[in-house]
Amino acid sequence: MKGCEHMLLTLNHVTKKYPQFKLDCSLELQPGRITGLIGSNGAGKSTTFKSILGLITPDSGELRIFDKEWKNFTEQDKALLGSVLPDADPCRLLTPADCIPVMKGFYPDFEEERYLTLCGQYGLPMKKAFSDFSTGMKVKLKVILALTHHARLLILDEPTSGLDVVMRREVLDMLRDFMENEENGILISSHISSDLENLCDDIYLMQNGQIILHEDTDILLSGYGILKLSEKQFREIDRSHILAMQKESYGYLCLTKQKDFYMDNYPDHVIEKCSIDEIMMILAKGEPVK
Amino acid sequence: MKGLLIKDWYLLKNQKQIMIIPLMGVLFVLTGMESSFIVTFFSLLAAMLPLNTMNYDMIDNGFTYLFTLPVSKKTYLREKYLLVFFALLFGICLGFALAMLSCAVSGKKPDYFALYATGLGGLVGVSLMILITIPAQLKFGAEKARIILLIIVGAITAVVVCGYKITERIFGAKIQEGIAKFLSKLPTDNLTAGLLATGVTILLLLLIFGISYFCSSKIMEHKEF
Repeated sequence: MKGCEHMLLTLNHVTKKYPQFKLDCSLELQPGRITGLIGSNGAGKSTTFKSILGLITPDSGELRIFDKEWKNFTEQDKALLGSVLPDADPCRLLTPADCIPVMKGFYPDFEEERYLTLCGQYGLPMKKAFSDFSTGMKVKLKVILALTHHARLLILDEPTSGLDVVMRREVLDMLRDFMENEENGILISSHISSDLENLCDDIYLMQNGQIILHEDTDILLSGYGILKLSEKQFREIDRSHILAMQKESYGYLCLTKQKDFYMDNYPDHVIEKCSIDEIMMILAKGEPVK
Repeated sequence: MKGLLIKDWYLLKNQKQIMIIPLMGVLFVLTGMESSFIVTFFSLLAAMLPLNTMNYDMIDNGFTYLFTLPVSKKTYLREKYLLVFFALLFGICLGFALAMLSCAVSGKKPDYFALYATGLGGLVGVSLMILITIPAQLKFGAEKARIILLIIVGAITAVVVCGYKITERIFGAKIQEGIAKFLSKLPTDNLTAGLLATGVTILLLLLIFGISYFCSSKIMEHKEF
Protein backbone atom coordinates (compact mmCIF):
# COMPACT_ATOMS: atom_id res chain seq x y z
CA MET A 1 0.00 0.00 0.00
CA LYS A 2 1.42 3.37 -0.98
CA GLY A 3 1.40 6.38 1.29
CA CYS A 4 -2.02 7.94 1.51
CA GLU A 5 -1.05 11.55 0.63
CA HIS A 6 -3.44 13.14 -1.85
CA MET A 7 -5.62 10.03 -1.99
CA LEU A 8 -9.32 10.39 -2.41
CA LEU A 9 -9.83 7.03 -0.82
CA THR A 10 -7.66 4.57 1.08
CA LEU A 11 -8.75 1.25 2.48
CA ASN A 12 -6.06 -0.65 4.32
CA HIS A 13 -7.20 -4.09 5.47
CA VAL A 14 -10.70 -2.92 6.19
CA THR A 15 -12.39 -5.94 7.68
CA LYS A 16 -15.99 -6.81 8.39
CA LYS A 17 -16.98 -10.23 9.66
CA TYR A 18 -20.31 -11.94 9.09
CA PRO A 19 -21.18 -15.52 10.00
CA GLN A 20 -20.62 -16.76 6.43
CA PHE A 21 -18.33 -14.08 5.05
CA LYS A 22 -15.33 -11.94 5.88
CA LEU A 23 -14.30 -8.78 4.08
CA ASP A 24 -10.62 -7.85 4.15
CA CYS A 25 -10.20 -5.14 1.59
CA SER A 26 -7.29 -2.86 0.69
CA LEU A 27 -7.55 -0.41 -2.15
CA GLU A 28 -6.88 3.20 -3.00
CA LEU A 29 -8.20 5.80 -5.37
CA GLN A 30 -6.21 8.75 -6.63
CA PRO A 31 -7.69 12.05 -7.81
CA GLY A 32 -8.40 12.16 -11.52
CA ARG A 33 -8.93 8.42 -11.78
CA ILE A 34 -11.85 6.11 -12.28
CA THR A 35 -11.26 2.87 -10.42
CA GLY A 36 -13.35 -0.21 -11.07
CA LEU A 37 -14.19 -2.92 -8.57
CA ILE A 38 -15.23 -6.20 -10.08
CA GLY A 39 -16.06 -9.60 -8.69
CA SER A 40 -18.73 -12.26 -8.76
CA ASN A 41 -21.90 -12.00 -6.68
CA GLY A 42 -21.11 -12.15 -2.98
CA ALA A 43 -17.45 -11.21 -3.53
CA GLY A 44 -17.77 -8.28 -1.14
CA LYS A 45 -18.18 -5.31 -3.48
CA SER A 46 -21.34 -3.97 -1.85
CA THR A 47 -19.91 -4.51 1.65
CA THR A 48 -16.89 -2.46 0.56
CA PHE A 49 -19.11 0.32 -0.80
CA LYS A 50 -21.25 0.34 2.34
CA SER A 51 -18.14 0.54 4.53
CA ILE A 52 -16.91 3.55 2.57
CA LEU A 53 -20.28 5.27 2.86
CA GLY A 54 -20.50 4.62 6.60
CA LEU A 55 -23.59 2.44 6.22
CA ILE A 56 -21.83 -0.39 8.04
CA THR A 57 -19.08 -0.13 10.63
CA PRO A 58 -15.87 -1.98 9.80
CA ASP A 59 -14.49 -4.23 12.53
CA SER A 60 -10.90 -3.13 11.94
CA GLY A 61 -8.52 -1.58 9.42
CA GLU A 62 -7.82 1.89 8.15
CA LEU A 63 -10.44 3.68 6.06
CA ARG A 64 -9.57 7.21 4.94
CA ILE A 65 -11.59 9.46 2.65
CA PHE A 66 -9.95 12.71 1.45
CA ASP A 67 -7.10 11.71 3.80
CA LYS A 68 -9.45 11.84 6.76
CA GLU A 69 -10.19 8.87 9.02
CA TRP A 70 -13.80 7.80 8.42
CA LYS A 71 -14.59 7.93 12.15
CA ASN A 72 -13.91 11.68 12.05
CA PHE A 73 -16.02 12.20 8.95
CA THR A 74 -18.60 14.95 9.47
CA GLU A 75 -21.83 15.71 7.64
CA GLN A 76 -19.98 18.50 5.77
CA ASP A 77 -17.33 16.00 4.64
CA LYS A 78 -20.05 13.60 3.55
CA ALA A 79 -21.49 16.31 1.31
CA LEU A 80 -18.42 15.82 -0.90
CA LEU A 81 -19.47 12.26 -1.65
CA GLY A 82 -21.99 11.24 -4.26
CA SER A 83 -23.29 7.72 -4.41
CA VAL A 84 -25.56 5.36 -6.26
CA LEU A 85 -26.40 2.03 -4.67
CA PRO A 86 -28.66 -0.60 -6.23
CA ASP A 87 -32.05 -0.97 -4.51
CA ALA A 88 -31.46 2.08 -2.30
CA ASP A 89 -33.88 4.67 -3.57
CA PRO A 90 -34.90 8.20 -2.65
CA CYS A 91 -38.28 8.42 -0.98
CA ARG A 92 -40.90 6.98 -3.32
CA LEU A 93 -43.34 9.85 -2.88
CA LEU A 94 -40.92 12.58 -3.93
CA THR A 95 -40.84 13.90 -7.48
CA PRO A 96 -37.75 15.29 -9.27
CA ALA A 97 -39.24 18.76 -8.66
CA ASP A 98 -39.51 18.06 -4.90
CA CYS A 99 -35.88 16.94 -4.91
CA ILE A 100 -34.71 20.51 -5.62
CA PRO A 101 -35.61 22.07 -2.23
CA VAL A 102 -34.79 18.82 -0.46
CA MET A 103 -31.30 18.58 -1.99
CA LYS A 104 -30.74 22.30 -1.35
CA GLY A 105 -31.45 21.55 2.30
CA PHE A 106 -28.87 18.77 2.34
CA TYR A 107 -26.26 20.33 0.05
CA PRO A 108 -25.56 24.07 0.21
CA ASP A 109 -23.78 23.75 -3.17
CA PHE A 110 -26.63 22.02 -4.97
CA GLU A 111 -26.56 23.02 -8.66
CA GLU A 112 -30.22 23.61 -9.43
CA GLU A 113 -29.63 24.85 -12.98
CA ARG A 114 -27.50 21.86 -13.89
CA TYR A 115 -29.96 19.49 -12.23
CA LEU A 116 -32.83 20.92 -14.26
CA THR A 117 -30.76 20.79 -17.44
CA LEU A 118 -29.77 17.15 -16.89
CA CYS A 119 -33.31 16.12 -15.96
CA GLY A 120 -34.55 17.77 -19.15
CA GLN A 121 -31.74 16.32 -21.24
CA TYR A 122 -32.46 12.78 -20.04
CA GLY A 123 -36.24 13.11 -20.27
CA LEU A 124 -37.18 12.86 -16.61
CA PRO A 125 -40.72 14.04 -15.82
CA MET A 126 -40.45 16.64 -13.06
CA LYS A 127 -43.90 16.09 -11.56
CA LYS A 128 -43.96 12.30 -11.50
CA ALA A 129 -43.38 10.46 -8.19
CA PHE A 130 -40.21 8.38 -7.98
CA SER A 131 -42.30 5.25 -7.33
CA ASP A 132 -43.85 5.61 -10.80
CA PHE A 133 -40.47 5.80 -12.57
CA SER A 134 -39.14 3.01 -14.77
CA THR A 135 -35.90 1.29 -13.76
CA GLY A 136 -33.90 3.36 -16.22
CA MET A 137 -35.45 6.63 -15.06
CA LYS A 138 -34.76 5.75 -11.42
CA VAL A 139 -31.09 5.07 -12.16
CA LYS A 140 -30.75 8.27 -14.17
CA LEU A 141 -32.29 10.39 -11.42
CA LYS A 142 -30.04 8.77 -8.79
CA VAL A 143 -26.96 9.46 -10.94
CA ILE A 144 -28.06 13.05 -11.62
CA LEU A 145 -28.65 13.63 -7.88
CA ALA A 146 -25.16 12.28 -7.16
CA LEU A 147 -23.61 14.52 -9.81
CA THR A 148 -25.19 17.87 -9.03
CA HIS A 149 -23.87 18.90 -5.64
CA HIS A 150 -20.15 19.41 -6.34
CA ALA A 151 -19.15 15.97 -5.06
CA ARG A 152 -15.46 15.13 -5.35
CA LEU A 153 -15.79 11.40 -5.04
CA LEU A 154 -18.47 9.18 -6.52
CA ILE A 155 -19.15 5.75 -5.05
CA LEU A 156 -21.19 3.88 -7.63
CA ASP A 157 -22.33 0.31 -7.08
CA GLU A 158 -23.81 -1.10 -10.26
CA PRO A 159 -25.03 2.25 -11.61
CA THR A 160 -25.76 0.79 -15.04
CA SER A 161 -27.63 -2.26 -13.78
CA GLY A 162 -30.92 -2.86 -15.60
CA LEU A 163 -30.28 -0.23 -18.26
CA ASP A 164 -30.38 -0.74 -22.00
CA VAL A 165 -27.40 0.12 -24.20
CA VAL A 166 -28.54 3.67 -24.94
CA MET A 167 -29.22 4.52 -21.31
CA ARG A 168 -25.95 2.90 -20.22
CA ARG A 169 -24.06 5.08 -22.64
CA GLU A 170 -25.88 8.18 -21.36
CA VAL A 171 -24.98 7.36 -17.76
CA LEU A 172 -21.35 6.67 -18.68
CA ASP A 173 -21.20 9.98 -20.56
CA MET A 174 -22.39 11.79 -17.43
CA LEU A 175 -19.59 10.12 -15.48
CA ARG A 176 -17.01 11.14 -18.09
CA ASP A 177 -18.23 14.75 -17.80
CA PHE A 178 -17.82 14.54 -14.03
CA MET A 179 -14.18 13.57 -14.52
CA GLU A 180 -13.42 16.76 -16.42
CA ASN A 181 -12.42 18.13 -13.01
CA GLU A 182 -9.13 16.36 -12.37
CA GLU A 183 -9.56 16.57 -8.60
CA ASN A 184 -12.54 14.25 -8.81
CA GLY A 185 -12.55 10.47 -8.68
CA ILE A 186 -14.95 7.57 -9.10
CA LEU A 187 -15.05 4.12 -7.55
CA ILE A 188 -17.43 2.02 -9.59
CA SER A 189 -18.58 -1.56 -9.81
CA SER A 190 -20.50 -3.13 -12.66
CA HIS A 191 -21.48 -6.56 -13.87
CA ILE A 192 -21.03 -5.27 -17.39
CA SER A 193 -17.28 -5.46 -17.79
CA SER A 194 -17.28 -3.71 -21.16
CA ASP A 195 -18.50 -0.58 -19.36
CA LEU A 196 -15.55 -0.73 -17.02
CA GLU A 197 -13.05 -1.57 -19.79
CA ASN A 198 -13.97 1.64 -21.56
CA LEU A 199 -14.31 3.82 -18.48
CA CYS A 200 -11.83 2.81 -15.78
CA ASP A 201 -8.17 3.73 -15.41
CA ASP A 202 -7.51 0.79 -13.13
CA ILE A 203 -9.42 -2.20 -11.88
CA TYR A 204 -9.48 -4.20 -8.65
CA LEU A 205 -10.70 -7.76 -8.79
CA MET A 206 -12.35 -9.02 -5.64
CA GLN A 207 -13.02 -12.57 -4.58
CA ASN A 208 -14.26 -13.98 -1.26
CA GLY A 209 -13.94 -10.59 0.39
CA GLN A 210 -10.37 -9.96 -0.71
CA ILE A 211 -8.65 -8.10 -3.52
CA ILE A 212 -6.89 -10.68 -5.64
CA LEU A 213 -5.76 -8.46 -8.49
CA HIS A 214 -5.11 -4.78 -9.13
CA GLU A 215 -4.01 -3.58 -12.54
CA ASP A 216 -4.25 -0.65 -14.90
CA THR A 217 -7.00 -1.30 -17.43
CA ASP A 218 -4.59 -0.78 -20.35
CA ILE A 219 -2.31 -3.51 -19.02
CA LEU A 220 -5.24 -5.82 -18.36
CA LEU A 221 -6.42 -5.45 -21.93
CA SER A 222 -3.07 -5.42 -23.71
CA GLY A 223 -0.71 -7.45 -21.52
CA TYR A 224 -3.00 -10.20 -20.30
CA GLY A 225 -3.83 -13.10 -22.57
CA ILE A 226 -5.23 -16.58 -22.68
CA LEU A 227 -3.29 -19.61 -23.80
CA LYS A 228 -5.24 -22.61 -25.04
CA LEU A 229 -2.85 -25.50 -24.62
CA SER A 230 -2.96 -29.21 -25.28
CA GLU A 231 -1.70 -31.59 -22.57
CA LYS A 232 1.66 -31.87 -24.38
CA GLN A 233 2.02 -28.10 -24.87
CA PHE A 234 1.16 -27.51 -21.22
CA ARG A 235 3.85 -29.95 -20.06
CA GLU A 236 6.51 -28.35 -22.25
CA ILE A 237 5.74 -24.64 -21.94
CA ASP A 238 7.58 -22.22 -19.60
CA ARG A 239 4.97 -21.71 -16.90
CA SER A 240 6.74 -18.98 -14.98
CA HIS A 241 4.39 -16.30 -16.34
CA ILE A 242 1.17 -18.27 -16.03
CA LEU A 243 -1.07 -16.78 -13.32
CA ALA A 244 -3.82 -19.38 -13.26
CA MET A 245 -5.01 -22.35 -15.27
CA GLN A 246 -8.20 -24.20 -15.80
CA LYS A 247 -8.62 -27.78 -17.03
CA GLU A 248 -10.64 -28.00 -20.24
CA SER A 249 -11.69 -30.86 -22.52
CA TYR A 250 -8.94 -30.02 -25.02
CA GLY A 251 -6.23 -29.49 -22.39
CA TYR A 252 -5.62 -26.33 -20.39
CA LEU A 253 -6.80 -22.73 -20.44
CA CYS A 254 -4.07 -20.56 -18.97
CA LEU A 255 -4.02 -16.89 -18.00
CA THR A 256 -0.84 -14.89 -18.42
CA LYS A 257 0.18 -11.32 -17.79
CA GLN A 258 2.98 -11.69 -20.38
CA LYS A 259 1.07 -12.37 -23.55
CA ASP A 260 3.86 -10.98 -25.74
CA PHE A 261 6.44 -13.29 -24.17
CA TYR A 262 4.41 -16.34 -25.19
CA MET A 263 3.58 -14.93 -28.63
CA ASP A 264 7.29 -14.37 -29.30
CA ASN A 265 8.48 -17.69 -27.93
CA TYR A 266 5.59 -19.98 -28.83
CA PRO A 267 4.26 -18.62 -32.14
CA ASP A 268 2.48 -21.88 -33.00
CA HIS A 269 0.43 -21.93 -29.77
CA VAL A 270 -3.09 -20.55 -29.52
CA ILE A 271 -2.71 -17.27 -27.65
CA GLU A 272 -5.63 -14.84 -27.52
CA LYS A 273 -6.43 -11.45 -26.08
CA CYS A 274 -8.83 -11.70 -23.20
CA SER A 275 -11.62 -9.64 -21.72
CA ILE A 276 -11.96 -8.61 -18.11
CA ASP A 277 -14.76 -11.18 -17.76
CA GLU A 278 -12.40 -13.96 -18.88
CA ILE A 279 -9.66 -12.80 -16.51
CA MET A 280 -12.17 -12.71 -13.68
CA MET A 281 -13.52 -16.15 -14.56
CA ILE A 282 -10.12 -17.87 -14.75
CA LEU A 283 -8.85 -16.22 -11.57
CA ALA A 284 -12.06 -17.13 -9.76
CA LYS A 285 -12.49 -20.67 -11.01
CA GLY A 286 -8.98 -21.65 -12.04
CA GLU A 287 -6.10 -22.79 -9.91
CA PRO A 288 -2.58 -21.43 -9.54
CA VAL A 289 0.14 -23.13 -11.58
CA LYS A 290 2.71 -25.14 -9.60
CA MET B 1 -31.38 18.71 9.65
CA LYS B 2 -32.76 21.31 7.26
CA GLY B 3 -32.78 18.79 4.40
CA LEU B 4 -34.59 16.20 6.52
CA LEU B 5 -37.26 18.67 7.60
CA ILE B 6 -37.84 19.78 4.00
CA LYS B 7 -37.96 16.16 2.86
CA ASP B 8 -40.57 15.31 5.51
CA TRP B 9 -42.60 18.37 4.60
CA TYR B 10 -42.78 17.31 0.94
CA LEU B 11 -43.41 13.73 1.97
CA LEU B 12 -46.42 14.74 4.05
CA LYS B 13 -47.59 17.16 1.39
CA ASN B 14 -47.58 14.41 -1.24
CA GLN B 15 -49.67 12.03 0.85
CA LYS B 16 -53.31 12.08 -0.13
CA GLN B 17 -54.27 10.58 3.24
CA ILE B 18 -53.32 13.82 4.94
CA MET B 19 -56.52 15.33 3.52
CA ILE B 20 -58.32 13.32 6.20
CA ILE B 21 -57.30 15.92 8.82
CA PRO B 22 -59.31 18.90 7.49
CA LEU B 23 -62.18 16.60 6.48
CA MET B 24 -62.45 15.10 9.96
CA GLY B 25 -62.17 18.59 11.43
CA VAL B 26 -65.14 19.84 9.43
CA LEU B 27 -67.12 16.69 10.25
CA PHE B 28 -66.48 16.95 14.00
CA VAL B 29 -67.36 20.65 14.11
CA LEU B 30 -70.57 20.18 12.15
CA THR B 31 -71.73 17.21 14.23
CA GLY B 32 -70.91 18.98 17.52
CA MET B 33 -68.56 16.20 18.65
CA GLU B 34 -67.46 16.05 22.31
CA SER B 35 -64.69 18.64 22.88
CA SER B 36 -62.34 16.35 24.83
CA PHE B 37 -62.60 13.71 22.10
CA ILE B 38 -61.70 16.27 19.42
CA VAL B 39 -58.57 17.35 21.31
CA THR B 40 -57.33 13.78 21.91
CA PHE B 41 -58.20 12.67 18.39
CA PHE B 42 -56.29 15.46 16.66
CA SER B 43 -53.29 15.12 18.99
CA LEU B 44 -53.07 11.46 18.06
CA LEU B 45 -53.64 12.09 14.36
CA ALA B 46 -50.97 14.79 14.18
CA ALA B 47 -48.47 12.81 16.22
CA MET B 48 -48.87 9.87 13.82
CA LEU B 49 -47.49 12.00 10.97
CA PRO B 50 -43.80 11.80 11.99
CA LEU B 51 -44.19 8.04 12.37
CA ASN B 52 -45.61 7.95 8.89
CA THR B 53 -42.59 9.81 7.48
CA MET B 54 -40.33 7.34 9.27
CA ASN B 55 -42.24 4.51 7.67
CA TYR B 56 -41.65 6.02 4.22
CA ASP B 57 -37.97 6.53 5.06
CA MET B 58 -37.65 2.80 5.61
CA ILE B 59 -39.46 1.62 2.46
CA ASP B 60 -37.36 0.48 -0.55
CA ASN B 61 -34.12 0.61 1.48
CA GLY B 62 -34.81 4.31 1.93
CA PHE B 63 -32.67 4.36 5.08
CA THR B 64 -29.70 3.15 3.04
CA TYR B 65 -30.20 5.99 0.56
CA LEU B 66 -30.87 8.56 3.28
CA PHE B 67 -27.67 7.78 5.17
CA THR B 68 -25.54 8.14 2.06
CA LEU B 69 -26.59 11.81 2.19
CA PRO B 70 -24.93 14.21 4.64
CA VAL B 71 -27.06 12.98 7.54
CA SER B 72 -25.82 11.33 10.71
CA LYS B 73 -27.89 8.90 12.75
CA LYS B 74 -27.94 11.46 15.58
CA THR B 75 -29.28 14.22 13.31
CA TYR B 76 -31.94 11.87 11.96
CA LEU B 77 -33.21 11.02 15.45
CA ARG B 78 -33.16 14.64 16.59
CA GLU B 79 -35.20 15.64 13.56
CA LYS B 80 -37.80 12.93 14.18
CA TYR B 81 -38.22 13.80 17.88
CA LEU B 82 -38.42 17.48 17.03
CA LEU B 83 -41.07 16.64 14.46
CA VAL B 84 -43.03 14.60 17.04
CA PHE B 85 -42.88 17.52 19.47
CA PHE B 86 -44.14 20.06 16.94
CA ALA B 87 -46.73 17.66 15.54
CA LEU B 88 -48.09 17.13 19.05
CA LEU B 89 -48.17 20.85 19.64
CA PHE B 90 -49.91 21.38 16.31
CA GLY B 91 -52.42 18.60 17.05
CA ILE B 92 -53.27 19.98 20.50
CA CYS B 93 -53.71 23.53 19.19
CA LEU B 94 -55.81 22.36 16.26
CA GLY B 95 -57.85 20.16 18.59
CA PHE B 96 -58.53 23.04 20.96
CA ALA B 97 -59.46 25.39 18.14
CA LEU B 98 -61.85 22.86 16.63
CA ALA B 99 -63.31 22.02 20.05
CA MET B 100 -64.07 25.72 20.59
CA LEU B 101 -65.58 25.94 17.14
CA SER B 102 -67.64 22.80 17.76
CA CYS B 103 -69.00 24.33 21.00
CA ALA B 104 -69.82 27.55 19.17
CA VAL B 105 -71.65 25.70 16.38
CA SER B 106 -73.63 23.46 18.74
CA GLY B 107 -74.31 26.27 21.21
CA LYS B 108 -72.72 24.36 24.15
CA LYS B 109 -70.84 26.29 26.83
CA PRO B 110 -67.27 25.01 26.83
CA ASP B 111 -65.87 23.71 30.15
CA TYR B 112 -62.36 25.14 29.80
CA PHE B 113 -60.91 23.40 32.84
CA ALA B 114 -62.21 19.97 31.82
CA LEU B 115 -60.97 20.57 28.28
CA TYR B 116 -57.54 21.60 29.55
CA ALA B 117 -57.33 18.55 31.82
CA THR B 118 -58.37 16.27 28.94
CA GLY B 119 -55.78 17.93 26.73
CA LEU B 120 -53.00 17.25 29.24
CA GLY B 121 -54.12 13.66 29.80
CA GLY B 122 -54.41 13.09 26.06
CA LEU B 123 -50.97 14.60 25.53
CA VAL B 124 -49.37 12.16 27.97
CA GLY B 125 -51.27 9.20 26.53
CA VAL B 126 -50.54 10.08 22.89
CA SER B 127 -46.88 10.85 23.69
CA LEU B 128 -46.53 7.51 25.41
CA MET B 129 -47.95 5.69 22.39
CA ILE B 130 -45.85 7.55 19.84
CA LEU B 131 -42.68 7.46 21.86
CA ILE B 132 -42.93 3.71 22.43
CA THR B 133 -43.50 3.22 18.71
CA ILE B 134 -40.41 5.17 17.50
CA PRO B 135 -37.72 2.88 19.02
CA ALA B 136 -39.87 -0.17 18.29
CA GLN B 137 -40.22 0.87 14.64
CA LEU B 138 -36.50 1.53 14.33
CA LYS B 139 -35.67 -1.86 15.78
CA PHE B 140 -38.35 -4.08 14.28
CA GLY B 141 -40.03 -2.15 11.45
CA ALA B 142 -43.52 -0.66 11.24
CA GLU B 143 -45.55 -3.89 11.27
CA LYS B 144 -43.96 -5.40 14.36
CA ALA B 145 -43.90 -2.00 16.09
CA ARG B 146 -47.71 -1.91 16.09
CA ILE B 147 -47.86 -5.33 17.77
CA ILE B 148 -45.22 -4.27 20.29
CA LEU B 149 -47.21 -1.11 21.07
CA LEU B 150 -50.33 -3.19 21.72
CA ILE B 151 -48.37 -5.55 23.95
CA ILE B 152 -46.79 -2.71 25.94
CA VAL B 153 -50.06 -0.77 26.36
CA GLY B 154 -51.76 -4.04 27.35
CA ALA B 155 -48.97 -4.82 29.81
CA ILE B 156 -49.12 -1.34 31.38
CA THR B 157 -52.90 -1.61 31.75
CA ALA B 158 -52.59 -5.10 33.25
CA VAL B 159 -49.91 -3.96 35.72
CA VAL B 160 -51.98 -0.96 36.83
CA VAL B 161 -55.23 -2.93 37.19
CA CYS B 162 -53.59 -5.94 38.83
CA GLY B 163 -51.48 -3.69 41.05
CA TYR B 164 -54.60 -1.88 42.23
CA LYS B 165 -56.50 -5.14 42.81
CA ILE B 166 -53.63 -6.70 44.74
CA THR B 167 -53.09 -3.58 46.85
CA GLU B 168 -56.81 -3.41 47.49
CA ARG B 169 -56.86 -7.05 48.59
CA ILE B 170 -53.92 -6.54 50.94
CA PHE B 171 -54.90 -3.18 52.40
CA GLY B 172 -58.69 -3.44 51.96
CA ALA B 173 -60.62 -0.17 52.30
CA LYS B 174 -57.46 1.60 53.47
CA ILE B 175 -56.28 2.03 49.90
CA GLN B 176 -59.42 3.92 48.87
CA GLU B 177 -59.20 6.02 52.01
CA GLY B 178 -55.53 6.73 51.23
CA ILE B 179 -56.34 7.85 47.71
CA ALA B 180 -59.23 10.02 48.93
CA LYS B 181 -56.93 11.53 51.57
CA PHE B 182 -54.25 12.23 48.96
CA LEU B 183 -56.77 13.81 46.59
CA SER B 184 -58.24 15.94 49.38
CA LYS B 185 -54.81 17.44 49.95
CA LEU B 186 -54.59 18.59 46.33
CA PRO B 187 -55.50 22.22 45.64
CA THR B 188 -59.13 22.72 44.69
CA ASP B 189 -58.99 26.07 42.92
CA ASN B 190 -58.72 25.81 39.15
CA LEU B 191 -55.57 27.89 38.76
CA THR B 192 -53.42 25.99 41.28
CA ALA B 193 -54.77 22.63 40.14
CA GLY B 194 -54.14 23.59 36.52
CA LEU B 195 -50.57 24.65 37.25
CA LEU B 196 -49.91 21.49 39.22
CA ALA B 197 -51.34 19.32 36.44
CA THR B 198 -49.27 21.21 33.87
CA GLY B 199 -46.10 20.70 35.92
CA VAL B 200 -46.75 16.99 36.36
CA THR B 201 -47.52 16.64 32.64
CA ILE B 202 -44.30 18.42 31.64
CA LEU B 203 -42.27 16.18 33.96
CA LEU B 204 -43.97 13.06 32.59
CA LEU B 205 -43.42 14.20 29.00
CA LEU B 206 -39.73 14.92 29.66
CA LEU B 207 -39.37 11.48 31.20
CA ILE B 208 -41.16 9.72 28.32
CA PHE B 209 -39.26 11.71 25.66
CA GLY B 210 -35.94 11.07 27.46
CA ILE B 211 -36.42 7.31 27.79
CA SER B 212 -37.67 6.97 24.23
CA TYR B 213 -34.79 9.05 22.79
CA PHE B 214 -32.23 7.09 24.82
CA CYS B 215 -33.62 3.75 23.55
CA SER B 216 -33.76 5.02 19.94
CA SER B 217 -30.16 6.30 20.16
CA LYS B 218 -28.93 2.92 21.36
CA ILE B 219 -30.83 1.15 18.57
CA MET B 220 -29.53 3.55 15.88
CA GLU B 221 -25.97 3.33 17.19
CA HIS B 222 -25.86 -0.35 16.30
CA LYS B 223 -28.02 -0.18 13.21
CA GLU B 224 -26.37 -0.98 9.88
CA PHE B 225 -27.86 -0.46 6.46
